[in-house]
Amino acid sequence: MEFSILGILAVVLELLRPILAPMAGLIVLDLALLAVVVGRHRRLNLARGIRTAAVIGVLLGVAAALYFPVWTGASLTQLQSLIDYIAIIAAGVGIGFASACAVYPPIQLFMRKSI
Amino acid sequence: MTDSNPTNTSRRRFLAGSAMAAGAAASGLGGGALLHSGRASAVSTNARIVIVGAGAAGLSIAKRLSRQLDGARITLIDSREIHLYQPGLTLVATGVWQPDHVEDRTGRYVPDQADWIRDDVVAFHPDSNQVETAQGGRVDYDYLVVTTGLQLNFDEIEGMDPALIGSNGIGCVYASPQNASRTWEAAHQYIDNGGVGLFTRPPGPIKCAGAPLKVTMLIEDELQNNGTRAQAEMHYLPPGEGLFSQPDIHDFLKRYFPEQRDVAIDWNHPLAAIDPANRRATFDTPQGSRTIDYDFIHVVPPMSAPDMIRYGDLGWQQGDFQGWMEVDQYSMQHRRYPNVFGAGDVVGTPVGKTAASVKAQAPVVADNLVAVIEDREMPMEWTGYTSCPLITEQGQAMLVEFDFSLEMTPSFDFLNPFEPQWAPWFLKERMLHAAYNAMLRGRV
Repeated sequence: MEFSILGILAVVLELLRPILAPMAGLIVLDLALLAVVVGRHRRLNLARGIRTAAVIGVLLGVAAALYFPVWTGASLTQLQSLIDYIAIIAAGVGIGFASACAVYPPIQLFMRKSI
Repeated sequence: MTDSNPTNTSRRRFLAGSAMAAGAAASGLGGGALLHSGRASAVSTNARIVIVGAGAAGLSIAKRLSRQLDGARITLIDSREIHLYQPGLTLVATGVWQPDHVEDRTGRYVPDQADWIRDDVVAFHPDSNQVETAQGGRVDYDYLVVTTGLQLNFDEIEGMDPALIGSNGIGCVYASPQNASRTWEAAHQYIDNGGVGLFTRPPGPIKCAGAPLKVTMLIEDELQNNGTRAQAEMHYLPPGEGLFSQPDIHDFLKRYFPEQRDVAIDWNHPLAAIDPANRRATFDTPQGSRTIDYDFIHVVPPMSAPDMIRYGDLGWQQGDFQGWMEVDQYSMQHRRYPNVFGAGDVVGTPVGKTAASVKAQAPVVADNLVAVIEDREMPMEWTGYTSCPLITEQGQAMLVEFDFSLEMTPSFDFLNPFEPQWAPWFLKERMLHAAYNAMLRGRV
């Protein structure tokens, strides 16, 4: 069965529909904080901020990957094929990346350069 | 060295702000395109189109037609306010999902441009382009789309009544979330105590032909998890000598059931009667009548198109598909009434009766109906595509896909359809409901 790119996006939209409003709010808030980060970037320790967000992203990504089968009512022992493992790794990478992006602006605002 | 040039700083801020605004606008436009599809090059017509049945097929087709036609009067006729996600009933019947997980509101998916008559059609008069409703109304049409679904003929099993589901060890995954939930209650007693479990399948086409197999395997899995498998004797009783219409999967199951799951296959055992008080089931075998005592029985009733089609002008009058709506299996157009189309469980075709088939049929019906309105050649054909995520245990499934040729037609080449894996389970348990809802909105 074929799905176009828009079709895949439509399915993802349906999956996220129950949390779409709060998610949109969070994204707007995050973008606003990112704008503040851009405006204040000279006073911020960007390297430390990015590093911290990345570490949080990795931790959340690993946790998400391990939890993913449980979230579907399965267990890690039921991962059988290469595709099963690729699926949870891809999910972990995606969630980790999204988490890092989401936490970066507020975390960065706390990471100022030493005077 | 620091860049203290105020012009550079302002330009950077402007560029950063512009980029973010552009990104926000693009995502908003993309999201808007998904949320609100516009009418690109719709066909102008004042045709009256009646769609009987607001299930998966009816709603999907209504949505598509409302986008493809400008000026058409589209009328949906169905009394049901609750929309059921029927592919989820197996998961309710085996305790994986709660009943409310499969219930939705029909009104969420009825297109704004369509009229919804909360009534049921009781008769079709295709020679006069009219349908008759239960409340005594008559609705005229120029074009008719029949998506009534099918009916469950419990009365063709002597002694059986849907009210018995959940009692005396009787289960049935079909018909309603409440029946599925009661099935889980009955199955739970069997899982706790063991005994003889009978898992039946009727002769003739049924919707979601994999469901009787999935229920068998999920209950066997629960017996294993509960530590009571050794106390249980399980039998799968097909009406003939086939387990699945796709031959490779039939061959797989023929070995898998007895060798891997210790489920005996009793060939040629169509269920003829049930005695609930004594927990006895009678089967009409080629060797004569056979009665088996059971502790749990999964009853699957014979199915057909609703009587008004089964015995009416729209049904096949003869042949292999008698009892179902007569359509050309490729174009979905009625073979004798060119202004009538059918889709979903009601049609008599060699394969189908799954949500995946509806997903494939809906654009065929919509596009072909629009072509008929425009008096041009019908552009689309249904290949017979159908799919069954065959759940082998909670947490694993096999994604079986095939078409009229009965050859496997995998959407994902990297998923071995003969190997139980977690990835198809994930699709079934998490993604397919979202894909189904996207289908109802006419987006896939």
